[in-house]
Amino acid sequence: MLLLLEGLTVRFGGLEALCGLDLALAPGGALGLVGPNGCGKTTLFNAVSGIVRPAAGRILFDGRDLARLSAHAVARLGIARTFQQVRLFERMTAWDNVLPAAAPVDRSLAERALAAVGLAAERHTLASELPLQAQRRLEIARALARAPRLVLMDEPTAGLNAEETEAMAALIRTAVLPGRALILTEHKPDVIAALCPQAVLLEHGRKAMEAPPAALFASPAFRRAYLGAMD
Amino acid sequence: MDDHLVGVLASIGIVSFVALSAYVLLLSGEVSFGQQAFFALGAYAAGIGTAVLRWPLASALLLGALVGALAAAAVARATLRLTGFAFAMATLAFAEMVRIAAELVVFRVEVDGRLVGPAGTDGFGDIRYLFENDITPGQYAAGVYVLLAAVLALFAAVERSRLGRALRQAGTDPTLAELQGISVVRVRLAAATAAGALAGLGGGLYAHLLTYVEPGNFNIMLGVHSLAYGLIGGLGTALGPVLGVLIDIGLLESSRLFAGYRMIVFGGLVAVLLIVRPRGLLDERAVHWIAARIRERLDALAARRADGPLRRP
Amino acid sequence: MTDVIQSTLDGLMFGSAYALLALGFTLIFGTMRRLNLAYGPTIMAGAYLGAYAFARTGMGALPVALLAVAGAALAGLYVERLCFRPFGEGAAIASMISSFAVWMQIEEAATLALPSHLNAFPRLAAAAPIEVGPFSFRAEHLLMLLVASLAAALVYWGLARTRFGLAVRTVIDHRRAAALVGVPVERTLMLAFVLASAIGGLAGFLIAASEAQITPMFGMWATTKGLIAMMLGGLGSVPGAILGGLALGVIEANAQWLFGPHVRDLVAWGLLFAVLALWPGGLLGGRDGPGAAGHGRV
Repeated sequence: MLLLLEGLTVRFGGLEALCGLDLALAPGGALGLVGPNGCGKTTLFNAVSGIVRPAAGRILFDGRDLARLSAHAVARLGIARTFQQVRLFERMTAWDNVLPAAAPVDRSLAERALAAVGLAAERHTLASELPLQAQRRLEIARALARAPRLVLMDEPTAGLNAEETEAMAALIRTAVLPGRALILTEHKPDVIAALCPQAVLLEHGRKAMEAPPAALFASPAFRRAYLGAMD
Repeated sequence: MDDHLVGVLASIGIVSFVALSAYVLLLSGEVSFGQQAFFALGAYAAGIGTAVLRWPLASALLLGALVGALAAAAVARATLRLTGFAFAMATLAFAEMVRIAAELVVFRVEVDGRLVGPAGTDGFGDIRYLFENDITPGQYAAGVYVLLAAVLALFAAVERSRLGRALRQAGTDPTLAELQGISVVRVRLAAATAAGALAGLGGGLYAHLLTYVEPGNFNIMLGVHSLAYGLIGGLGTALGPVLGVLIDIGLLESSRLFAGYRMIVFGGLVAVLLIVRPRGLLDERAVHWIAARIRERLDALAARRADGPLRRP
Repeated sequence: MTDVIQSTLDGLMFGSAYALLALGFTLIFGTMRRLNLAYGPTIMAGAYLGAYAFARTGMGALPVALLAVAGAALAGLYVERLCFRPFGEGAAIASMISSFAVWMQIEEAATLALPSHLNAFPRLAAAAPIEVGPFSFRAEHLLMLLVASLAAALVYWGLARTRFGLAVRTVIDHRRAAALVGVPVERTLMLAFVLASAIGGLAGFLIAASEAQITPMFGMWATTKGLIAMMLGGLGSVPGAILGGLALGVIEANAQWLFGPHVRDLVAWGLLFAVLALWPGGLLGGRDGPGAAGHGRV
C-alpha cells in the first residue's frame, strides 16, 4: 500500500471533522472521494499534506507515518496537491510557479510538465494574468514538476462547464494518472467514474461506503448523504 | 565635486544598505521596524574594530556585518513563532532595547594615550580611520558604491536562483510554499541573517563616514524609513529600495522645496502609495513588464541577425 | 519597604494614564483587528492644539482639556480615513505601515506649529502633595487616577449599555454577521476609532497637565507606552488593556526607583519582547495568532 490511513481523527475545537477514518491506496491507484460539503474531504487532504495535525490515528505513506511531519517534509516525500480554489503565486510567472523552489530541481521535468498541460508558450506570463482554466492547468503542472508519487486533487473541475470538464478529465487521465497514485474529490459523478476504479463516500467525517463508482452512485447511502434521510 | 554633494551621495549609498536589509525581510513576508538595531550594532562593532582594535577597515566592516548577522539570527530564533503585528512589535522592542543599551554601555580603552570607545549617551567618537589613512570623502563614497554594486549584483544572482524563488514564495503564501517543499522557517532564518549582515555592513560604513555615532542616530525613525524605502521604491527588485532612498535623500532632503515639510511629504507618499500601489513603484508587475520589453528587444535583434544576410532578394 | 509601596502606588496612579492609552489602542484593535501606530501622534496633535491655545490665550485647564480631546478626535478621523478605511479585509499590515507613515506627518506638523521643545501646559492641580502616613501622593496623580477611572468606567458602561456599545461589541465579535443583522459597520468603526482617539486625547491631556509641559517626544512616547501596555494585557481585550496599563505603571515606577530612567525604559521594552517571544499564542488570542484554524504544523 502506498497510502494507508488508520483511525485518522482530526478535531477543530469541539468539532470532529474526521473520525477514525480507514483508507488504503495502492501505488498507481486512483481513488475518488465524494460527499456533501463539510463531510471532511478537504480536511482529509489537509491532514495528509501536513497542514493540519491529526488528534489520533496514523497516516502511513510507504510505511512512514506522516502524522507528525511538517508540511514541507511531507511534500518532499512525494505528495503534491491542487486546490479547489486555484492557489498560485500570483506575482510570479508561470515558469517560476512550476519550477520547484525546493530541492531537487529538475528543470527538464518542469519543462515537460508545463508542456504536458499545454502552457509551454505561456511560461513568461504572470500567473495572475492567465485565464482560470489555464491557471488550473498550471497548478497541475506545478504538482507534476516535483515528480510526486501521490497527487491530491480537490475538485479540479469546480466551476467548469461540461466541455471544460471533459477536457480537464482527459488531461488528468493523460498527464496525471500514468505512474502515479491519485485521490480525487469531486461532486460530479461522471468525472469520478471516468478516472477512478474505486470511490469512497464520506459523511460527517466517517467512511459511509467504499465501492466502484457505478455501485456507489446508485446506492441509497449516496442519496441519503447528499439529500438527507427520508423515512 | 563639492564636499556636501559627496556627503549626500555617500549617505544615499550607506542608507541603501539598511533599506535593502528591511527589503529582504519584506520579501520573506515580514515587516520589521527594527533593522536599525543591526545597523547600530554594526556601527559600534566596526568602530571598535578600527578605533580600539586598530584593525584595517575591511576587517572592521566584516566584523560589523558578522555582528549584525549573528544578532539578527538570534532575534529571528526568538521570534520564530511570531508573524504580522506581533513580529513587527518584537523587532521594534529589540531595536529600542539596543538603542537604550547603547545609552548605558561605556566601554573605553586607552589607545595611543587617549580613551577610545562607546561612551553611553555621549556616543562613540574618534572613529578616525579615514582621516588617519588619508582617505578622501570622494574615495570613500566611491568605495561605498563599489560595495553597493557588489551587493546588488549578489541580489540579482540570488533572485534568479532557487533561494530567491523560495524566499519570494515563502513571503507571498507561506502555507502554499510549505506544500511545495519549502521550509518557511529556514527561509525566514536565512533572510533575517542576511538582512542583519547587510544592516551591520551599512552601520560600519556609516560610523566611518561620520566618525562619531550616538544612540540617538539609531532611533525608530531610521527603522521606519528603511521600511518605507522598499515600499516606495518597489519590492520587485533590489533596485527598488535604492530608488526609495534616492527619492527621499536625493530629492526630498536635498531640494529646498520641501525644507521643513519633508516628513509630511514622505509620510503622505507612503500612505498614498500603500493604497494605490502597495508593492511600490518598481513592483513585480513593473519589473516583469520591463523584463518582457528587454526580451522582445533581444529577440528582435537575434531575429534580424539570423536572417540578415539572406534578406536581400 | 515603604519605598516599594510608594513607587507601586505612584506606578498605579501613572499607570491609570497608561491604561487609558492602552484602552484606546485596544478599541481600535478590537474592532478593526489592526494596529494604529499613529495613535500617539493623534494624541499629541490634540495636546499641541491645547498648548497652542494656552500659549495664545492662557485659558484654563478645562477648556484646554476639551480642545485636546477634540483635536485628538479630529486627528484620529484623518488617520482613519487615510490609513484604515481604504484597505480591505486582508490588508491589516498595510494599515499599520500607513499609520506609521502618518505618524511622521503629524509629528512634523506639530513641531512646525509649535517649534520650541518645551511647551507650557496648564497645571492639572495646583495643590501640595497629600501626605497619608509615610506615603505622599502628588495631587495631579490622584486627579489623573480619578479622571482616568471615571473615563474607563464610562467606556465600560457605554460598551455594555448603549446601542452604540452594542454595535461595537457585535462588530468586535463577528464583523460579517454584524453587517448581516443591519449594524452600520463602517460608521460604527469610524465612531469607535474617533472615540478611541478622544480617549487618548484625554489621557494625553492628563499626562501633559500633570507635568505642566509637553514636548515633541510625546507622540512616540504615548504610542510605545500604549502598545506595551496593551500587549501586556492581551491584544484586543478591554480589561486586559486596563490591567496592562496599571501593571506597566507599577513595573516602570519600581524599575525607575531601583535603577533610573534608562533602565526603566529598557525594562518596559524588554518586557514586551519577552512576552511576545514566550507567549505568542496566548497573548494574541485564538483568532489572530498563527495557526488559528485547527492545529498548524506550518
